[in-house]
Amino acid sequence: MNGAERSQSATPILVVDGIELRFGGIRALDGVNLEVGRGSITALIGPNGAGKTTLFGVIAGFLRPSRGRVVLGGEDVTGLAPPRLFARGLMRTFQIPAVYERMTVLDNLLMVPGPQAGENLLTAVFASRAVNREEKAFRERAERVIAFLDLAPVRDNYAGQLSGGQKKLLELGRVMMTDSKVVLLDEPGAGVNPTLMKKLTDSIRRLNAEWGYTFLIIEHDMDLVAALCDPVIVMAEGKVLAQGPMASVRANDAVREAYLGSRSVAERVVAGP
Amino acid sequence: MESLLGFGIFFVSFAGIYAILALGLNVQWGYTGLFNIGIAAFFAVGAYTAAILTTPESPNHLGGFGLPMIAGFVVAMLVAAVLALAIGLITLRLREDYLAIASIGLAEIVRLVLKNEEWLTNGTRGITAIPRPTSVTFFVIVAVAVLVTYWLVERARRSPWGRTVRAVREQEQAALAAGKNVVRFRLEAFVFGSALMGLAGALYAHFQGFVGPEAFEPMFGTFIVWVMLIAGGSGNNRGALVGAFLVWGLYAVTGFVATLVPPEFATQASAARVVLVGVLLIVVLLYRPEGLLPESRRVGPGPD
Repeated sequence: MNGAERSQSATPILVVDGIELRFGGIRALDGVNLEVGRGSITALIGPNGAGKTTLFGVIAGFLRPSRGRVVLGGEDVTGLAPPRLFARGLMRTFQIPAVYERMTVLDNLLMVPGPQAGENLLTAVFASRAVNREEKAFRERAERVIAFLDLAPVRDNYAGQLSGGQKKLLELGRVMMTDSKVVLLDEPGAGVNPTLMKKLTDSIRRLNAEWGYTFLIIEHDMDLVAALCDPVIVMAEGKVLAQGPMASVRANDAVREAYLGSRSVAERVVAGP
Repeated sequence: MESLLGFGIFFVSFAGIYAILALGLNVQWGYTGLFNIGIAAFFAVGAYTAAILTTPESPNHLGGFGLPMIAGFVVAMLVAAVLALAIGLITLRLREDYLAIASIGLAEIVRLVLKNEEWLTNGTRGITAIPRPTSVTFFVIVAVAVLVTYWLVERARRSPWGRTVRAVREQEQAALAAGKNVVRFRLEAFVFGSALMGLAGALYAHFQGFVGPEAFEPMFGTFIVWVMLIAGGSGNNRGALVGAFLVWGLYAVTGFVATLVPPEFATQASAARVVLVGVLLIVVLLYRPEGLLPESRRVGPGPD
């Protein structure tokens, strides 16, 4: 079964329904509708300022939409705070890698699973046995992730010392420490050299196939998108323009126009309320 | 010889009180990145709580209730914790600079209340007749308090809790995305650290036998604790201890030197001591910004 068939037959695990968001007079999101099929690797592309990262913020609970709904696994999750969405199996990464700079790579991974018994201050101080048992399982998982992503040589380095590409891998590693079902990756390929890029795409593909993660990926590297993602959703000016396999999206007139920028940002601002 | 020993006991007791303040600040700033510049508020509230609870009944202020010292310690920590909870609930949801502003405001409000609410605190005349153990007994009490505090904060640091508050300090957004209730962790660290500051205040009250509002001015209530932590090594509990003893040692030595200068220069001499503490801070920040004992790389359980 090829990707196109799979994505069409899959039931949506994530539905974005009529999301609107305004920053002052600017309509950053202007009625976004999209569906992400369970088990798919869906791309979200579009010119700068299209509202992709803003949409991620809304889906992951960092921004509250002025209108519309986000449905995750059949449940309306609009406006829930990020920790609650995390608990429901959604995790996001950031455009600029958000690693804990003055923590080791290992600790960056170990802090992710949760809630942890040892995160309760009293348990942490007075009941170390229960904490240590739990910690052992996290540790094993973290070591597997480190091996999977070839991060062993930098395991005990501060994350702040990693290269940009390694930080992207580490963010992916943090995703692997969870049992998330839906993962939002914001430009996983940005600043990643070709060798690491191969590693990154392989990892995403394997996580999708073997771990059952669904991915929604913002990406500007069209080669990466073509190689990895299906379907592709195109956003421009706060709306979804087109959606489908890469080839059909590429042929779409509206998409071409959006990328060529025939309507200026200034015009959009003027057109605002 | 005997006076030297006496001075040693006095010095270690006093420095020990500051060590507890520095450990409390380390939980807040070193672990969690909470910018508390109102340490004096929690220190003062702890001191006055212990004073009111343990002094014999007096017409000059609330109480006293004549309770044993241990009750003073416990309630001082509780009152400081409740105060921290109240301030924290308001400010810790907001951007981090709000805590700085709120905490410095709180310290001033507390100081003004101590100065003006005579029914409660006897105003500028302060509270006297606070039970004072012998210097050796007190030394033992402080030593035990420092050790227990150190054990507690170190256990907390080397736990998943310590790891998560460090992550909150480093990258709030990512911690949120990883499902952490950032506000809760900040609140816990703030309350924990403030309770320790309250304990330090209670110890101070019994050490001096007297508390008055001047003791809790920003210089000795807050600033010097920051210098101790930064010089010793923010994030490192042993660093906080070393910093407390070092800075307090410097201050004690220069105090001795200041007694040697002619009396007409006494004011300048005491000002110069404060300047010296400031110079120490600048030198440390320039040449060893991570402090004498930097934060350890690993956090959480397991070997370093």
